[in-house]
Amino acid sequence: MALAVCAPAQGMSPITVPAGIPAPLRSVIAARLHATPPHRSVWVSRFEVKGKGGYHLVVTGLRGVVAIEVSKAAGRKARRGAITTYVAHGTATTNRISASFPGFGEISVRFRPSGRVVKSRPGKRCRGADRYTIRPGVFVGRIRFTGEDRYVQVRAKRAKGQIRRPRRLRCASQPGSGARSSRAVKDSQFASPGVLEAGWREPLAATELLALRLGARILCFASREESLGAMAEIRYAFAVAPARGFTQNEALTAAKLKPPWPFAGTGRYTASPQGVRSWGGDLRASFPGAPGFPLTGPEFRVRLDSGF
Amino acid sequence: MRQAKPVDTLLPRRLQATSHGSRVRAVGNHSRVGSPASASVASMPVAADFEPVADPAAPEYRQNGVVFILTPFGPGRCSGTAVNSPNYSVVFTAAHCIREPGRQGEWLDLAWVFVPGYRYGQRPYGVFPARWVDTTKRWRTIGGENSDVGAAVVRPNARGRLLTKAVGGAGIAWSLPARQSFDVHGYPAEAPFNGETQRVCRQRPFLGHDAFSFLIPGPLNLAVDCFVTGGASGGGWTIKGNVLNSVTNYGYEDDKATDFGAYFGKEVGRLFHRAAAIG
Repeated sequence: MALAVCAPAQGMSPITVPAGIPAPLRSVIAARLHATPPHRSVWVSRFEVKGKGGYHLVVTGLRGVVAIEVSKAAGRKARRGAITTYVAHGTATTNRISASFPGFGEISVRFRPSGRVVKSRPGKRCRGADRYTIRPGVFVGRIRFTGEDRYVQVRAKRAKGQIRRPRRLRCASQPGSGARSSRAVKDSQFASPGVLEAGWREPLAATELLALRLGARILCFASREESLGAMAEIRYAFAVAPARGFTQNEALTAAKLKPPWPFAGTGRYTASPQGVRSWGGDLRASFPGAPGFPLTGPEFRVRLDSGF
Repeated sequence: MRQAKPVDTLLPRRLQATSHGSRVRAVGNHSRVGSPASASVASMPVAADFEPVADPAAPEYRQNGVVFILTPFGPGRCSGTAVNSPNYSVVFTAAHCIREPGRQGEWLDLAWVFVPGYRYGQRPYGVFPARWVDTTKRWRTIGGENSDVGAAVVRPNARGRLLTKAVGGAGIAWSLPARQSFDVHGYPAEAPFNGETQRVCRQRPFLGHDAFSFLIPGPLNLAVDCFVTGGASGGGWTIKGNVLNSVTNYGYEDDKATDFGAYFGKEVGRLFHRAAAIG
């Protein structure tokens, strides 16, 4: 097995994909969120604070990118959720996070280490002194954030957090990544997925909706990204639900999507014999800071597909 | 930095396109598209705002041209701009027209030539093969579209003339406010265009930054209203007449009317100085 020094991931981003999304779909969602997880060889600073209304904020600093992720505390493995991430460029070093979020607030904190340094266990395919360390501590300074219409508000001077410090990694290649001349095909729950995609892009904003049928379940995922001058908002909502929430006819000329919270309402797809598609109804998503965000309308480009 | 292998001639045959998420670059290592020569502009809905220039070989346009490259993945093409420098030989383009991002990225310079004033298969000022290519340091080490700027130093053409002595060059500026009005030049080659002549979107105001740009390190990029397709990558964005201040990086499949280019910050200034110092 060849060994290689692991290189920093390219295009890494502070956005993470919720663990509750089934593993086969995580990469699909990650691509849509531009969410390449930070590699172990990158410094990551992070702390959490509670806001009013049951929201909690996770602030992450990564290579000059500062992100404030707002969500309801539903647990990492929740099968439904909605998250809004506010992103700005600022300072994110090993001892400082600082960025301004015009109209929303600012983060300007320094890190004070406290507690015992935790050394990670090396990954299964990594060896040597190869690991990262997690240094717990307290971020002290100014933490101010107010969401749209004050749906969340935080004013704090300190917050517990951590800095993840990389150490040089020597990791083996992914098992099974070598060349294969053939691969057995077996039936799986993904053999005949039903897919509905709808999207709408403006110059500095985009809305996307994806519904996938996975055997007896569906995944419904919606995202909205928008550039707001000196910062950006990335919102997304997801729900893993029973398959009855996404139905279609055999001819693929009609489909109905009715996912549970954080979604509401129904989306209706129709296609004429001439191929004219329409996507209507009152389907909407409830993102933190943007409740009832519409996910249908004539501006959406829509596609319905299914395996055989 | 990298010494490019000398090339005598390189004929454009095919284009390459890369899908990167839903963003689309002009050159890369994935899906290929057929010969653009078979595409007829007249038969397709032409995006009127990326208008053809009257004569790409005219003095005000001839510093812009096509970059033809041969990569480990096959031939490709981009756009580029000659920039005034003490060695008379500097071309600016997109970094992804020079190498793949990150430390593991491959150099795309098996052959790399610049054809200023290119029009309908003609090379009015000849071919200028690269002898040195480089990108911003961040593109080479981390990658990320915010740092997608590259430069080449080219050899003289077959008649022995240095690039900017032959066609002139644009000025270059960095660390300016993002809020500028740009003339976007390029040779888009994917439908509805065919890459045979130079096009320009005139006086396009800065619209803002792409939301994606906030997620990655490096200076926030620039958006302008201009319909571009593959092949326009690396095309120069000029301000105040003829001062290069950005290059085309990418657009989105579902909104081709918006063009995104890198902000020219200090790192681009350092890249220019490295290129200009090549003797």
